[in-house]
Amino acid sequence: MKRMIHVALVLALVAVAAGSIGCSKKPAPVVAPPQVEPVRTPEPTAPTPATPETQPQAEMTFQPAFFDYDKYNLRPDAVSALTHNAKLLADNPSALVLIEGHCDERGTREYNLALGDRRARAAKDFLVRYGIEASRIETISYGKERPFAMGSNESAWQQNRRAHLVKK
Amino acid sequence: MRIIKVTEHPFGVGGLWLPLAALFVGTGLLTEAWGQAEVYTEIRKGELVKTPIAIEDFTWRDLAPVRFQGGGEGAEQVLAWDLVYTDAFRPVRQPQENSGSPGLVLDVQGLPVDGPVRARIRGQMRRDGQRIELRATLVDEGSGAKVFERSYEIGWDAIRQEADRWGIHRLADDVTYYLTGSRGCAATRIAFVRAGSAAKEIWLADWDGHSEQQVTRLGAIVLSPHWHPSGRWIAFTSFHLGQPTLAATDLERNELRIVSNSRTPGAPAYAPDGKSIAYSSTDEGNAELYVARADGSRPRRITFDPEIDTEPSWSPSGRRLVFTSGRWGKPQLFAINADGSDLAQITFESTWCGSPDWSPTSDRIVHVISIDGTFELALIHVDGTGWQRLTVGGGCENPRWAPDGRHVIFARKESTGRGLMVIDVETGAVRRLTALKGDTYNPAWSLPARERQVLLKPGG
Repeated sequence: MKRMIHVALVLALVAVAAGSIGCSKKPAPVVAPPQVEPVRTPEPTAPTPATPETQPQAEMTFQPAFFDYDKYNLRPDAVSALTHNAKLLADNPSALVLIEGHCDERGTREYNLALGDRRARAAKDFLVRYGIEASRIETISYGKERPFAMGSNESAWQQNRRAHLVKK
Repeated sequence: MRIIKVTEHPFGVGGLWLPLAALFVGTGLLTEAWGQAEVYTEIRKGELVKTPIAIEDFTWRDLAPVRFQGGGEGAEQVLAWDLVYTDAFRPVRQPQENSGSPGLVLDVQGLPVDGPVRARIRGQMRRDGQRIELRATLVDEGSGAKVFERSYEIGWDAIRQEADRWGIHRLADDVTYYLTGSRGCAATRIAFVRAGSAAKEIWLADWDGHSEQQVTRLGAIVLSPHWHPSGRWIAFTSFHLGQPTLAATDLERNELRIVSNSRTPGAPAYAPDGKSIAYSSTDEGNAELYVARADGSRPRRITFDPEIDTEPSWSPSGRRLVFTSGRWGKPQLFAINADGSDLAQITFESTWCGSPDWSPTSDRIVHVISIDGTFELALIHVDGTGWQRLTVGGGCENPRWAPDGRHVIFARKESTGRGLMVIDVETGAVRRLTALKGDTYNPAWSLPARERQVLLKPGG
C-alpha cells in the first residue's frame, strides 16, 4: 500500500512536471521552409490616408490612441479613445479592424519596430477585455517607418506615437 | 625600415571572401597575424600619425588616360581619395601642380606636408585586349626597395567611356596592408536604404559612395539590412507581404528568400561564421531574441523578459551578443551568450541607449545614446568601461563598423536631409558620402571582397 502511494505520488509529480513543461513550452515559431522563393513583385502598398478620422463613414470613425515617449501603457485619453472604438466594434459585430502601432522618429529603428508592436497589442488587449472577439482584431507594427506627421517637434512626435485603427 | 614578410596575402586567396578572417578575429589570431606582424614602416594600428605617401602620375601604354566613374576623376585621384579615407595616409601627388613655392609640399587636400614622404606608388596602365590592366608598384622612399608589384584589372564601360573604381580600391587596400599591417576596407560595399516617395528600397554602393546599384524592387517598407559574411546574402525586414517578414536577398541569383515568417521579425544579424542568424521577434507576445540557422530554420529563443529585447550584434568570436533591452525601464545595452546564458548589463545612463554594433576587431561597442534629447554615437567596452562620446550635433542613427574596426558608418539627419557619414573613431574625423543622392540611411558595411558584390541580372 505504502509502495502504491509512493508510486501514485511519483506519477502525480511527473504529471505536474509534465503539465508545467507543457505550459512553459513555447509554441514553435512559424518558419517558412528553407526552400528558395522566387522574387515577388507585389503592387506597391500605398500608404493609408494620414487622417482617416475624416473618412466619410461617420458610424465607424475610430479614434487613435496616443502614447507617451518610449511607453506602451494606455493613458486616460487612450482609454477613452479605445472605449469609443470598442463601442463602435460592438455596434458593428461584422466589422474587422487592423490596429497599427506607430512610433515617433526618436530612438533606434529596430527598437521602435518592437515598441510599435507593443502599442498595437496594448490597444488590442483593451478591446478584447472590453468584449470584442480577438479574432476580429489584427495588429501590425510600423515602428517609425510610416509617420503620420512630418517634423521634429513634440506636436509631430505625439501624432506619431499612436495605435491607429483601420477598418478592414 | 623592414619589409613586411607576407606569407598569405589577405586578398590572394582563391575564394572571393575571407570567411576565416572573421573566425580569427575572435580568437586573437588576427591580431597575431596582422596587428603585430613585422610591418614595413613603424606605423602601428591606433597611431594617429598620417603617413605622407607619394602618388606619381601613372604612365599609360597603348591608351590615353581614362576618366573614372562618378565625377570623371583620374586614376591617381581615385587612389588619393581612397588613401585619404583610410585616415592613415596623407597622399601627395607628384609632380606637384600648384604648391606655390618650391619647398612647400601639399597633400591632395591642400594641406602642407611637413614630414618626409615614406613611400611612393607608381602605376602603369596598359591595354590588355578589351581590358585595362594597372601594374602598380609600392616603393620604400628610404631604401628605394620595391615593397610590392601587383596587377589590377580595371573594368571599362565602353558605352559610358568610364573606368571602374574597384581595381583602384583593391590597390588602396594593398597599400594599407603592406604599410600598416592592418586590413583596409576600400574594396567593400555599403548596403543602405534609400527612401523614395512611396517605397523604401535597399541599395549598394562602394565605400566612397560611387558605383551604386538598387538591390530590392519590392515597392514596400524595408529596413535593417545586414550582410552575410560571404557577401552573397543581405538579410532585412520587409513589409512587401503586408505583415513584416525577415527576408534575405541572394545577390548571386537575384532571388528573395523568406528567412522567418514569425511575428514582427526585426534586426537580423548573421553570425561571423555565417551559420546562424540572430533576430528579434514578437512571436510569443513580446520582442525576444532568437538564434536560428542562417536559412531561418531551427529558431531558438535566447531571452526571456517581459520587456523588449532587440538589436542583436555578434561578438567577433560568435560566442556572445550585445543587444538592446527595455528591461531596466529604459532601453539599455546588455550582453548575453549565444545560448542565452550569462546576461550582463553594459550601460546604465541616458534615457535611450541602443543600436549596438560590436567591433570586428575588439571589445568596443559603438551605439546610439540620447544626450539632452539628441541622438549621438558613443563607444563603450563590453565590460561597461571606457565610455566615449563620438559625435555632437545629434541626429545619428544605425552605426555599423567597417571591417577595419576603425571606421563606423552611420546615418545622420541634418537640415538638408538624411545622409550616410563615416567617422574615424580614433580621430573623430567625419566624412559624408556626398556621391550618394537622396534620402539615404540604415547602412551596413560588408567585409572586404576580391570582386565587387553586385546584383546580377537573372541569367547574367
